[in-house]
Amino acid sequence: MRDALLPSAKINGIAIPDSKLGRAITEFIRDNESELLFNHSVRVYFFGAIAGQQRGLTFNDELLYAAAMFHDIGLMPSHWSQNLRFEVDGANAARDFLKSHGVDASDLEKVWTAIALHTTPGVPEFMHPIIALTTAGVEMDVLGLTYDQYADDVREKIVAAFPRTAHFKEDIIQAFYDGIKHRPDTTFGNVKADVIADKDVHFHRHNFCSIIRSSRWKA
Amino acid sequence: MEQVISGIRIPDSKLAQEAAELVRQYQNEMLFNHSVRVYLFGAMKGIRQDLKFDRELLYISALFHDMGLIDAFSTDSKRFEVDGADAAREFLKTRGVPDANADLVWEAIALHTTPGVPQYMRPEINLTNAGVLVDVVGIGYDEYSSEQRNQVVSAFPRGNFKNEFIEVQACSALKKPETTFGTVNAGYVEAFDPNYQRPNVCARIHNSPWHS
Repeated sequence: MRDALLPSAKINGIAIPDSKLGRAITEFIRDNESELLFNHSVRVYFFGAIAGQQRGLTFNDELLYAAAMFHDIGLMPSHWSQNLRFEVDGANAARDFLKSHGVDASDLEKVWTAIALHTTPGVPEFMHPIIALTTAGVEMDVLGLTYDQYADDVREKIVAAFPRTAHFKEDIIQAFYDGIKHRPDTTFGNVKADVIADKDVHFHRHNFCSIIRSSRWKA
Repeated sequence: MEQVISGIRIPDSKLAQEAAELVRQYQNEMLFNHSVRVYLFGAMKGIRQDLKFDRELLYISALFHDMGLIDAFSTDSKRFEVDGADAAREFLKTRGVPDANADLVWEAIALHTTPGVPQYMRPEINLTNAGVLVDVVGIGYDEYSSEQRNQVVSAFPRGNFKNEFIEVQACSALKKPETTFGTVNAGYVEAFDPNYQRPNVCARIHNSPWHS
């Protein structure tokens, strides 16, 4: 369904940015990410942008598109590291890409932060619109958190253009696992620990109190 | 009165003194001393790594970072980190500090428990988190000389820090356990409430309103 990426594909007044940068982002993610994650990322953009309309926020759609499209690239072998959180890998990839396209430093920082914090609960919603809306889009597409705040026909149009797979829920959990299983320690204290625990019965989850009690300090 | 600990001066501008007085008024010695140690360890690391940072802003971030644990600053629905961040920003704005600096302090506090991200952010955010990590869990312990550690701890003693700190954190977390989802603070709830069913993100994905 990638024909739907034509600039005419407006949903609820939102379109994929039809600029040189917008097209370059689309091409880069299409070439470097699985179809599952590509479609998920475009939906994150639409859900995030519509959340922005609902909240009356002003934001740069190219930057939101960049953050949404790159947010999961750190799950791909071509862009993952051995010891950083996948969120940070994605943030770094977006920063490098945008920098090479002449985006200025303060905008790079916003996109970096939006991606790095997209799984941190309860904080991004109070930050810059690009950061808040990236997380809003992710939480809608992955968890369905604000599901009822979107009209049925809007949701249906977005999903028709950028389909959820028949078993998307399980497929996205698998995609998370595939992208982080080689670095389980990076999931400590964040939601991705549940993904490792779901797939690996031997995974031992650390408790923060035990970590404090066993620190090098005597008391 | 100028106070220098192992080469690190405690900021004593009017703003810094007011911040310290306000925090000390609400926090017990355990939490206040912890907050000052977070500043000292953070500043030491910043100097060691030759980072450019605003000492006053780092000091205020450190002082306020646990303010959300105090009833007077705690909300029912926000993470305690955000409550502390809001308290600091409010304090700074009413004293005419520019928004950009107030927002920087807000981020440093809001993200001080987020693992694996703050170290790549601006120095004040990085160093607030670094100070917390060494003082709470001992991450980076060996990067400080025993002289540095001893001077910090003798000026601002730990006392029975591990137990008392866990108790204060647990008290806050148990009041609003849903705000600990996907954070290190879920550990406090689990440790103190044996009946607590920790929400699981995979279950939340499966139970979402999406059809598939």
